[in-house]
Amino acid sequence: MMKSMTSLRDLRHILRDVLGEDRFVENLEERLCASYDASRVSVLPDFVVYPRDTEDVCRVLGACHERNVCVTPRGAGSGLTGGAIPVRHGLVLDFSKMDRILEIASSDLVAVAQPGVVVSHLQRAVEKEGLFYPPDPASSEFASLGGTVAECAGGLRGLKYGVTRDYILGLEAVLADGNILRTGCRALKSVTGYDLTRLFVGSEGTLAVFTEITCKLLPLPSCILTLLASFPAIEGGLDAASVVVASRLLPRALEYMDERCIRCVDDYGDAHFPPEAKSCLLVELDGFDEESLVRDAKKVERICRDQGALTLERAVDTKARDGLWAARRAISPSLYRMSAKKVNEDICVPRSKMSKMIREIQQIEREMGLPIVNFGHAGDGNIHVNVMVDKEEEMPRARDAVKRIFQRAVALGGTLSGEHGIGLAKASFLSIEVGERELETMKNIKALFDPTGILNPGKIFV
Amino acid sequence: MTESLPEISFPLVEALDRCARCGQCRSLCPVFERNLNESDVARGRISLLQAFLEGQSISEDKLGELFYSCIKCYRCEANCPSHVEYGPIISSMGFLFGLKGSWVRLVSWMLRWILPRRRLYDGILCLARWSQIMLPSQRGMSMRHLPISLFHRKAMPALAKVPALRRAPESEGRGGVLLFTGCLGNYVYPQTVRSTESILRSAGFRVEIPRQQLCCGMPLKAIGDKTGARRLAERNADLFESMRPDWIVSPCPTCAGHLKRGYVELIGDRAMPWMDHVKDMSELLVQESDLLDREAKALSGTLKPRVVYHDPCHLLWVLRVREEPRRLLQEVSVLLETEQGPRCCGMGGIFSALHPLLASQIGSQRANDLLSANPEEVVTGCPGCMLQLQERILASGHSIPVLHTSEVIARHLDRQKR
Repeated sequence: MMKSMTSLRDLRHILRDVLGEDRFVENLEERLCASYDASRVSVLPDFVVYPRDTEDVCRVLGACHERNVCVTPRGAGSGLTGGAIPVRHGLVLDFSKMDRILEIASSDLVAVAQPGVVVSHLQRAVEKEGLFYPPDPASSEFASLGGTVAECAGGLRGLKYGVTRDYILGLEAVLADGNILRTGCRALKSVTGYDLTRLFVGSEGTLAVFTEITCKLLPLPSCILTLLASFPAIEGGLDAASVVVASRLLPRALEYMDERCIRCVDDYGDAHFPPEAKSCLLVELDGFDEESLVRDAKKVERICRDQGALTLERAVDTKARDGLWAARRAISPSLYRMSAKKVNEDICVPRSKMSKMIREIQQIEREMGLPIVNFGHAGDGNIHVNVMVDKEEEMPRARDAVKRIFQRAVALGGTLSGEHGIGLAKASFLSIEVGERELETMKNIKALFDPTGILNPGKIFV
Repeated sequence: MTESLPEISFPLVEALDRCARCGQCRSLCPVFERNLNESDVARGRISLLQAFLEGQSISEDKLGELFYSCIKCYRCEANCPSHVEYGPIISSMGFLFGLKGSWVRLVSWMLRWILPRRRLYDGILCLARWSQIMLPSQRGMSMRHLPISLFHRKAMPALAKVPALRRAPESEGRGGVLLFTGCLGNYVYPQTVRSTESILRSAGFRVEIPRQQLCCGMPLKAIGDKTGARRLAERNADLFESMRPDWIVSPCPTCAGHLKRGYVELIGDRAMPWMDHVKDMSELLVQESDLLDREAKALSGTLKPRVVYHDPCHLLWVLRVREEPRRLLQEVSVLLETEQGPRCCGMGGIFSALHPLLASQIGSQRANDLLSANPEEVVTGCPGCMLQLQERILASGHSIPVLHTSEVIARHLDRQKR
């Protein structure tokens, strides 16, 4: 303890002088503002640093490494699993102010940006050039690029466009000891050595800290078409989604909502479904040719009708499409109305196992006596499971329900987390999915990059 | 919790607990967009206030400072996925930690003295008008500096020769529409009051502009002075209770929003009876009159100006009025929208005085948004936005006029009559 106090004092002494008082902060108020994220856990760091460039990050990590002080990187603090919580205190590296887009190269289909750039800002900037950065987590309006790379954020467009991992070509990263490591390159193909970029994407800030991110871009699709269908059976939406995929159609989004979810949204008032609707499916197609898009839309509509769709709506212009998305957007706020707290998990199962998973969740719901609301990305098998909790006493039961849901998901060939990451929230469940030898391998990799364990400790592994 | 906390009637602890820490407010806050400080968004403030109430040693001065650095556009509240009631939270923050420094005390003392005394208020503004006339017009269109450099030497429109209330017709009794002028409407833009009145009359409403009305109290609330604000609210409540208007309309959505949603924070249940009766003029015209149908027929073949509409934050996010002004403006103009969607103009009342540079930056950005739509006129529904946008547009070297929605519609109705 004595040793750590002196090392903190030491660190303050060194860093405050080089960084200045506006970038090296230790007042309680700003420390508190770097203590939480959307997981609602809060742990105070000892210091907060707002780095301005890579050199600042190197200095901080070098100094912390020498003194064995923990470092937790932080983007917008919008993560759901506690990735940005400084559980062992130490120093938080807040990247909010490293928010420049460095380059958009149309001819290479590449963008280079600092980690603090807000995802939607990058998206809008490349869209101005007719380009497209597809990863689109629900938090894209405020999440930082660095954070989404560290968590390998997913989003609605997984089936057609993949996830963040598929759009990161290269990284400039700073290792725990303060040395810079450059991975990948600007070229679209590269098989030179091990793929460290892929290792770092989704590493939740435990292996290295990113300071520059090279993203792959696509041409921006010029036409988008949205469909919304409701079904009388709880599997209706999922079955329709399965047939859509089996028919060799490739929508950019296939969003599923179950009955509870529909009722919640209905009460909320932003969208209306027939009372007998038990599930719904939102389909979004995109492309460069309107005619073929309409052709595909008709196929989707036929499939929905064959699956017994109660209602079917189609929208092309932005405003009408927005209207159809209103239901999807209303889920999160309407759930908060339903009960005070929710345990929100994001399991992912093979596409074909989705209906089975939903039925198993219903079974667990009956057994545990807690309402569970499901919605998710039917295209990629990612189900957002929300166990609704009204009173604190129900929390242990909710955690129990979650554990059983995880076990079922893994048994069906799926995973604990499709896009939120493990962080703090799911660390204790990791062994459900990851075997002993695999865990050992992961720990060895961690030790290789961060031998003293100062980078985002307490995450992923218990 | 410290012992000296004044009583807050609002269930503050529960309200703070609703925040899910999702971070959505980071994408909505005009102040955060500039300075990127977490403590400037609702999530940061809520966390700090919560920590303070839990007994952590958060500096009260810092909490006071954060109250003043909020521009109070309420955009985060209107768009919060967890429905956190940020409005009452930020007010509570002001009541608890505002009003500490000597200068705010002085301002509050002055406002408490002047605002409830109409003749004194008139007199002071008359003096200000004369001193304003002495100064040369700086940027054309009668924008001048006020002698007091409160607004960071920001140019101001000429104060009205005769305040709107002084010209108000005698009251005809209870009911009808009570037109609440607001201070800017009364002293700076009386034409907005006149045009609102004439439109409502053409639409068949009986309009009352009672001279006993006082400042809504927002300026006092905005510096954290609950007592001062409550006194004004009570006097206005007396007036509303005796007049029993069917509707309360103000050309200033900040006043209207405060009457509708903010008075509860000051006078509790007493504000309930008229909450639903406060409407924007555009709502009343679209929902409660057939003016639009009548006009739509008469409009064919007229030459319409190209106008771009700026959503005032308090109209959009507090009164939640978006479509109605557009419906009206579409009839009388070629209506343009900004590519960027609604964004704050950076006025924020007292905010411009405390953070003049930030306010100007936010304002210039908004002025640019509006000018890039290439309009002949900028139209908005708020005198505060008018003041800020006109100043920023002139400062950027353009001479596009900024008008109130009611002015554009009244001008059109006038032409029809002729």
